[in-house]
Amino acid sequence: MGALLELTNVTKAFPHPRGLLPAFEEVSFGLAEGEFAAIVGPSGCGKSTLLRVIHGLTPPTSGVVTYRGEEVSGVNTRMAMVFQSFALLPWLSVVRNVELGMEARGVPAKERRRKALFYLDKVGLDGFEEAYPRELSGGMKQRVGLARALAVEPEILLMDEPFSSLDALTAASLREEVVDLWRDREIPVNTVLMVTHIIEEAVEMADRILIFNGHPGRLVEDRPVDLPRPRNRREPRFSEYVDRVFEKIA
Amino acid sequence: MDVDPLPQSEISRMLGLLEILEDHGGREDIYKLARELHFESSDLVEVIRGAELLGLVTTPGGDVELLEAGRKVNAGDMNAIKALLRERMLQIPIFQYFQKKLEGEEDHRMSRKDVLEELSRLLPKSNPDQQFHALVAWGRYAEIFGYNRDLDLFYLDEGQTLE
Repeated sequence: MGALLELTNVTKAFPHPRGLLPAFEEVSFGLAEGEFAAIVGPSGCGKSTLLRVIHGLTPPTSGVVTYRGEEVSGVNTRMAMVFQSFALLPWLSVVRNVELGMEARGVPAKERRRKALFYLDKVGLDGFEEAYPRELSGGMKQRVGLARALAVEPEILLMDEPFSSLDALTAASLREEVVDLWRDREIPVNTVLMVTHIIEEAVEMADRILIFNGHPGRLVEDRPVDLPRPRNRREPRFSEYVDRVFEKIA
Repeated sequence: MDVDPLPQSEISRMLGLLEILEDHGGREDIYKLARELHFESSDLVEVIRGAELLGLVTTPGGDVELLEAGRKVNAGDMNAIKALLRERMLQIPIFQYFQKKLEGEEDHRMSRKDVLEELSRLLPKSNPDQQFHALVAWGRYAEIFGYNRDLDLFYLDEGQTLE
């Protein structure tokens, strides 16, 4: 398993009347192919900004992000993002929303449709192709967001608080499905980096937790999660993991 | 034909309920579960009613308990889940009614207006728009019915969309 992504002393700061205000500082870690990692930390520790820097949507103020050994400059098209807010275009049908990401990357029309239908099927939305976002529940909207990100077949799937706008029951069903998709061998996407502020979510889904804390945010611990799957939140070992992460954040 | 209204239960919520019940050892007090999930009890009961109608859970006393079909949904892949829900939905009178009705229509299609009229007649005490929404949401997931908003057509899903 080769390293895909490497961050070395990465800092991101924003202009402020009194100088530069850092969102996070001196962050270093690597992400290997096949990993499911979660970045966990309280609100305001720069988690989402870090994900944007990793994706290349905004450059770091200092430090280096490399991808397969090369320094990243500009948007990294080998990654795709799932957003908290779904980010669907309301005037486009479900299948057109999924095709849109591929269109921007120059995938031919026939191939776009084939892949859109394949990934809609994978997220359980076969039958919803011609629906519009407003006809869908939050859970179904986020499935569309997931299908859109998967359809470009990224090497790393980035997820920014993907279940935060959903109620507890809907989130439970989607978490399970995302883990199933990550393990699905018919899907080439096998590396996931997810941002969440919910510790239980990270312990349930990820094999590795990058714990952030402070303002500006710093990586305070890099902890593997060695629990068998499927994971049960009510098992004592699950609670032990949650407690250990919580200690680092509280 | 005696037809009961469909509960306003989102499929994703029902699937989440089954996952959570599995974690709780298969059975939990409804009130306790609502509190844990930060759900209003009435909202959770609506989700449970949907899962109960599909034969995935049962509600002994004030509890909700996972049935064998519910465990199969948790263990199944997407196609297995859809096949099971499809089979269950096709046993529900309102699904049987519209399946038969659409089979009798030219091209197996009806306008939304006609479906709403049927729903008002069949379920005079229910909100026809809500019933239509539930019928479409459940029917789409189980690939029984489709609905094309642009063409205003409700139709039997035979593996084709109208786009």
